[in-house]
Amino acid sequence: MRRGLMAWDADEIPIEALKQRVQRLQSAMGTAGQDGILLYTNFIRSGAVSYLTAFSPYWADGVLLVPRLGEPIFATTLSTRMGSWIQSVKPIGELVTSPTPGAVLGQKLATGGGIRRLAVLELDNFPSGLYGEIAAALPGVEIVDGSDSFAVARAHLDDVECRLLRKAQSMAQAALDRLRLDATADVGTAVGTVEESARLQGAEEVYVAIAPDLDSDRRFIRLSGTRPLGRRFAMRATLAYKGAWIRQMKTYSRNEQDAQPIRRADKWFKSLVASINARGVLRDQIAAGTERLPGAELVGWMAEAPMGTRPLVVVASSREPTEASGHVPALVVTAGLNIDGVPWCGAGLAGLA
Amino acid sequence: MNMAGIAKARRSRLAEAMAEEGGDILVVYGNAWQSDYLRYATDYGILEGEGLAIVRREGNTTLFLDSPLEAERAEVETSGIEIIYAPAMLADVETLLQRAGNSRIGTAPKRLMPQRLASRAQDLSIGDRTAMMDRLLMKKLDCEVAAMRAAAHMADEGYDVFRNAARAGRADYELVAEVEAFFRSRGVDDNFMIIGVGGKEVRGMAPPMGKKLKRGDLVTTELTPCINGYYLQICRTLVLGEPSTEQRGAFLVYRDALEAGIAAIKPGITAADIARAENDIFRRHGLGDYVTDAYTRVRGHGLGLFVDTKPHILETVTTPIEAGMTMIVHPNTYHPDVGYMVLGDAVIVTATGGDVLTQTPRELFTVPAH
Repeated sequence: MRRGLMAWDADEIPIEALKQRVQRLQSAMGTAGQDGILLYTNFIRSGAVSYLTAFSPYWADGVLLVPRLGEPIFATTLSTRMGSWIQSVKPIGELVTSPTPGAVLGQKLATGGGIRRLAVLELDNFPSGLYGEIAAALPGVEIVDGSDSFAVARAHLDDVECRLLRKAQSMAQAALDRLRLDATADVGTAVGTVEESARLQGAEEVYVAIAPDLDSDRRFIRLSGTRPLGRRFAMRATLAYKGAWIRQMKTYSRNEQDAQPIRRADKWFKSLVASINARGVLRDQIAAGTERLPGAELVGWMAEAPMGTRPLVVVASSREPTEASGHVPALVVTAGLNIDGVPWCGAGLAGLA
Repeated sequence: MNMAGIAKARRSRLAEAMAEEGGDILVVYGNAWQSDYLRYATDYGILEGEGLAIVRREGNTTLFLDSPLEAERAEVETSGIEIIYAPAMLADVETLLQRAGNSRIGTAPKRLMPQRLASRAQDLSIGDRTAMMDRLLMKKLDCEVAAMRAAAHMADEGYDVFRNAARAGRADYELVAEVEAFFRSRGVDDNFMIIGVGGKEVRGMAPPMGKKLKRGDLVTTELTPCINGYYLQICRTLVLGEPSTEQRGAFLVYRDALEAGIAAIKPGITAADIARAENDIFRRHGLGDYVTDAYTRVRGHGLGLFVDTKPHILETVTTPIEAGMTMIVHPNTYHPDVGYMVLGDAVIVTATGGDVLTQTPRELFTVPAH
């Protein structure tokens, strides 16, 4: 559940930028012959609606209707008395609150007339309860998948998003850097320190995961409490700032001799992500990059992007034969190495150049 | 009983319920918002992405997760179930159901089931088993009740941290940050928390908006630590500086309403009876308008593997109250003289009445305004 700072700031997310995003989507809908598109949101699938309106629900869910022409309408199961709060953080479009948002939007569309083809972002994964409400209100209307239309519009990376992503990254890095090894003996203190720092900086959300003993297991888990930390451990901060999501990772070691290889890997990775072409073949770029780091063995990597309703979706990885598409606006790349016998993990933003 | 034992007990009970209702396979959907159905079936607390569990009547369970990070975590954090990372989760589950032959398939929760699977309901004979799972989620096993009872102190301790963090000049999100750091240090992985800061202009609680606390403000919070999957809630209000006569007077209405609601609890009544007991206090003070949905959502709700589970405590909800249910009673609403005020305690329904879990005094707290 979202419980970080949720506040809209016109300087950070100008209304004009949101309007341009909506217009790009409307243009893509026009090309596809769609009269309207429905985009689902809850706090796990907040990506699409947040991109278009700056709004993420902290709880409950909702549907944004973007008509081919005109202002979007957001219908949500959040209660009516939350309306003024929603409008204070959602500066664009009309608002309707209802326990049955699908029915409300369906009736609006039916009353307005002229709808022949209605698109739904990620139709297969649209909640069936909402789908049923909409379909019942719109007999005779063709309901189609609108994921391609949205992907075309979402591919554009504007300056506003770039700035938010960079800010989110710097907040996460600052939070991870705040950890002092000499004052941190257990998992709960480590996770709590990072989380507190991120939230104090104004993060909308932060998920802190930890690999508490890299020498025995590199997998990241959600952990808190008094479990002792290993000599080598790593943390991952998945952080949202005003709808922009990133991951940042840091490897920690109490062994003095690990400091140099970890520094080398950190420096290498920073340079690698800065050089990545987000729409190129990532596997080749990462493999070539690893060859430039002597003593390093690549354990695995993953690239994620804000796509569809998800803030971050895997678009390519070392375990999947996929490659990023031309619709990727920016990438979050995570990688694991062994360098001079030291396990290392890192993450960073790519494709912002 | 440890948490692994509780998870096993839940899975056995689910298998029994499936057998009673004539189900062979249950498809359970979950995400971090509506996580309780999935948690019941798998004991996994999903955070990112979405999951579908296939629960077979004989007890074997497969958990499909569409996020590789979640699948990695689930492998470590769960036991006794099969974990599958499934980038094409809906297609994979659909294929599995197609191969299930004449099995009787059920799903839960119906409203959130992805359309691709729901669209196959007729040809795959898929039935809705949401009500079956709702019953299991509402009426806890003895071991679940014991786990919630043992964890309740964490809500009280969390509120202590919140109260000590509140001082003039601090922003609302800074209070949340401090509470979250405390919870992580104490082994609490998750927390639902909303906050309100101000006076008569405040109509409810929301995530922090960056408001700075100042003298005279009412600071409300609904704080809900999640301990081993179970959410325990407490609602309290504090004032920065000395409370006004109006604030003190208003608080007494909420206290009396909370006590009336708790006193009404016993097996055999309905959720509506609890709501009515609370609301009658407001009506007696001429505040009947403020117990309507224009000013308040619910007068309490179930607690358990979800923050806001059934039954909702409303005068229109006729769900029978049974021993083994856990809930929060909270007459939270707007007061025309002072603004939004909250007060609520978590309760277990026993054979004889309501057993209050949270121990924080029911008072209008004050903290120095300097």
